[in-house]
Amino acid sequence: VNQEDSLRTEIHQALDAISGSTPELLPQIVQVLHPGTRRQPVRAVAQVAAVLGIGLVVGGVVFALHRSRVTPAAVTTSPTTLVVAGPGADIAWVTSQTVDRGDVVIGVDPTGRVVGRISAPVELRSPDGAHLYAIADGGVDVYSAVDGHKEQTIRLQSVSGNAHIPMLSPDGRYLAVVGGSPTTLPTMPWPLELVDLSTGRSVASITVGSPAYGTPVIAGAQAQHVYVIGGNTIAKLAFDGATLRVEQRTTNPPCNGLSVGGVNSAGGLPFRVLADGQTLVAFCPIDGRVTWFDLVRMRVTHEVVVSQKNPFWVSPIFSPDGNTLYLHEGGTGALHVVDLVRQTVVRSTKVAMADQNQLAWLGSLLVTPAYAGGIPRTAAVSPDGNWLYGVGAFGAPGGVSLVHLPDLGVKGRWIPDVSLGSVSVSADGLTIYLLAGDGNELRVLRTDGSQVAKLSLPANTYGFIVPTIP
Amino acid sequence: MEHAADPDLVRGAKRGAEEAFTSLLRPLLEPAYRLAAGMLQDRQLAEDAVQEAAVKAWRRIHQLREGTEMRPWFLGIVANECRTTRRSRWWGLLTIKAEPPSVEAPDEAAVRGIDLRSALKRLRPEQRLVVVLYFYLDLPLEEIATITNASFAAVRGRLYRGIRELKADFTISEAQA
Repeated sequence: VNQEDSLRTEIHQALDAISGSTPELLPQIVQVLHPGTRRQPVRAVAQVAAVLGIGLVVGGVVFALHRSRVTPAAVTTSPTTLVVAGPGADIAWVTSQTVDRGDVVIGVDPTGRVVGRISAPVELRSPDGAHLYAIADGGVDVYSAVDGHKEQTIRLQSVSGNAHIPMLSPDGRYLAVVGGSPTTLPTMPWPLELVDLSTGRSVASITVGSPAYGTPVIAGAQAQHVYVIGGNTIAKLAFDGATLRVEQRTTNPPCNGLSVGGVNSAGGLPFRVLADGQTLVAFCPIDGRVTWFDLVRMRVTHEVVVSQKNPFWVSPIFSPDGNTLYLHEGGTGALHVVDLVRQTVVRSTKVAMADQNQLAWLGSLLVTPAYAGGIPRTAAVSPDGNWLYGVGAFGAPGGVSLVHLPDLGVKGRWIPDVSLGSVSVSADGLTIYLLAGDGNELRVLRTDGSQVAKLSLPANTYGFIVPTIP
Repeated sequence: MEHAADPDLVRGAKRGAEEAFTSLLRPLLEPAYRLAAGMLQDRQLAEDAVQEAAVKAWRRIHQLREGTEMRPWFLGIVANECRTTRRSRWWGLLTIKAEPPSVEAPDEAAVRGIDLRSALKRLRPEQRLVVVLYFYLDLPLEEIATITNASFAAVRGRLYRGIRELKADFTISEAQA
């Protein structure tokens, strides 16, 4: 009896620690108890019989008319609200690598017309989509997203050479770059430089002692803090408007710490500073880990690992409000939805539609898909947050799956015969751009699925340069 | 058993009166949530399971005979929902609470709690259900038999085997006098 009482007490304590006090559940339950949710058995049987009967009739008609392919129902994904974006934000910019001219960036407008070419290694695009940035020869070149003309060059004080990792602030006003010089060894400290894009000048630089290849993350409306995250170190620097100062350095355990990638490290920028301004959420494409990092207390506060067959090929896409992270696995069509505020995976589902080979992901383990060095961006979210466009079937036809995000239902599929690698949606939500095949073909679609244009691109196309919103 | 369904409320609920149904449901939400939390060991999943179970109960209220007990009927639905929830987690979610580094020795009670929860997780679901209902919800074996749709002897056997496996995994201390 003593042991039973003791076990009862211990179980109460152990499970109370998990359950806590009982939450107020009734209001949510009452919300879903509308009359339509309850069916009388006789009525339900009648409904099932009616549906079956209708299904038999419809099935017979469809079978009789069946040709080679079922035409999908028309789905329109037009934005529900007017989205105001910067000039040129509706233009897609795609990067290709050429043998003779290096990186070439091509701009295509919603009619399928090529509006400009930039011969420079463009890496970033302003959050409003209006400007493109390339870092070369010790300067930041700023290009117009309307037609690709160079607007200005901002000289850098400390960073030179071609090895660098740049990042924008969430509002696009500042650009931070960690980079070496031609004489800098990878093991030597790299300087950090901060550029005010609104005034067009470099405002501060410092050699932080951070490891090479650290990624800079800017926080605060006036860039009050810049973090350099890389290797096993996180450096926190304060910016007072004129100078940068190391405020804190902490060791980042390599296996259980924060891992952020640069802008080209995954099929989408893999991190975001949340609306509270002090929480950084990062997706690690190596192990599929999602980490919440408190930028004030400088420590990991939470982690979630979503088991995926191959996280390296997962596209991390954030919702427009930054509160949700969608992890889309193009090869299998798996979609994991992470609520970044509640810090939990709220749903995992499959959004790929028929015709996909369920074992196609195995192919990626044996043969690296030929995406010409870029990680395919297999998902894009409409600016109103209502639709996710999912592509990618490891070379197999599959088209675009249209996922209605409020209920995560797959509502249709466009161009199902086409093998697609990357997708991008214009800032106004009215145009969907798709890279087909090995990336050497661009298709332009409207929100009703109709194809506006099909263009040929240079063979080695990296992918889209989408607005950089860290 | 203290949660016999009020016949008037049951009749009202069967006629579609949400107020009657919620009146029947209200006193059952706490044990339902504790059952789900004990089975799933996750607050959010537990909330979802209870909410889903409530919707199913509303749809099946016509199956509840007048004069029968409401609590075992509803807790049975919750237990089924917990089973479904566990089965549907095919993606293998692993949640890690990142604890801040501490220089203090870990709290012994907290460590025992973790060990006990782990031991409970290792039990077979039908054993864990009986253990949670008996030790955490403090229900009598007769009612547990109704909830699990099993005989009294079967429930007693599951409880016995569950305790034996817990003992193998976890040292149960003597209660203090």
